[in-house]
Amino acid sequence: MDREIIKNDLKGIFEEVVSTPNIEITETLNAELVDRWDSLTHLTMIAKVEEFYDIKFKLKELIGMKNVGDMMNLIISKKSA
Amino acid sequence: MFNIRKAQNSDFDFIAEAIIESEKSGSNIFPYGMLFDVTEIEFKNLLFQIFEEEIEGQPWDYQSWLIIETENGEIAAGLSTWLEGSAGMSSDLLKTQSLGFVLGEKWHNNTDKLELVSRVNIPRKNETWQLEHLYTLENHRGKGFMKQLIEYAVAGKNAEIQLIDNNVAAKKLYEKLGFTVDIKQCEPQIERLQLLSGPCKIKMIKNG
Repeated sequence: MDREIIKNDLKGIFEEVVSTPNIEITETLNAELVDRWDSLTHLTMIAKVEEFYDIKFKLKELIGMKNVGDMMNLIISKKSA
Repeated sequence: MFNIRKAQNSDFDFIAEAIIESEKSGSNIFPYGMLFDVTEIEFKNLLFQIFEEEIEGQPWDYQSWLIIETENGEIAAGLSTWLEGSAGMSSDLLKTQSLGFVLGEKWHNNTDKLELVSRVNIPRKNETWQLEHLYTLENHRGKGFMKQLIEYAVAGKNAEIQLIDNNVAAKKLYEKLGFTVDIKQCEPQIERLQLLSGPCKIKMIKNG
C-alpha cells in the first residue's frame, strides 16, 4: 500500500472526527499536537480507521501506536497479511 | 506496625475493589455502571482483562500499585502511583484505549455520556507522580494507613491527585499532607444524570 494514499485517507478520517479542516498529516503527528484530539476522539478515530480498512487492532498494538507513522505501519502490515 | 509493598497478581481482587470503590467516591453512584450499563461484577472482570495486559504508565496497571499491610499481613489500603508520560503516551489515553477495547460496542454506544464526563477532565502534568484510586478497607479506616502510604509514595516527588470536589474527608487528608488545590473543573449536567458522584473535579498538587 502506498503511504501517501494512506496519509490522504487518514486526513479525511481525522478531520471528520475532530471537526477540524486542513490537518497536516505527518508521520510524527500525535494526539498532543492536535486540538480536540483527546482520548474520546482517539477511540472514535481508531474505530473509523478499522472500519475503513476492514481491519482490527489488538490492544497491545493500540498501546504501541505513538503517532500516525506507527498507525500507518500497522495498517500496511495488516492489509498485506 | 505496617508493611508497604508493590502489588502482585494475587492482589487483583483487592485492586479491582479499590478501583470500583474509589470511583464511587463515598457515594452509591458507580460511574462506569451509569456510563456503560455494566454491573460491578462485569466491570471487575473487564478490569482483570486489563490487568493481564500489564499496560504501564496508567492507573490500571497492577504493577503501579502500592499496598500497605497490617503486622498480620492483612491488606489495609492501597493506591496506584505512576510517573505521567513515562510510557510515551498520556495515562488518560492509555486507560481509555484499554477500557474502550474491552468494552467494545458498549463504549461506542455511549459516547454522548462520555463527552459530558470528559468536560471535567483535567490534564495531568508530564513528569509528575500521579496518585489515583486511594482506598482503605472499611475495617482499617481511621488508623493512619493511608497517610503512611501517601507519605511513602510521594516522598521528595512532585505529585498530583485528582478527586471529586465533594469528597471532603479525602480532600482534608491531602491538605494535611501538603497538597493544595490547583484546578477545579465543573459540569452541572453530570450531577443531574448521576454520571459521577459530584459535578466538580479538582486537581491537588504537591511539590517534592
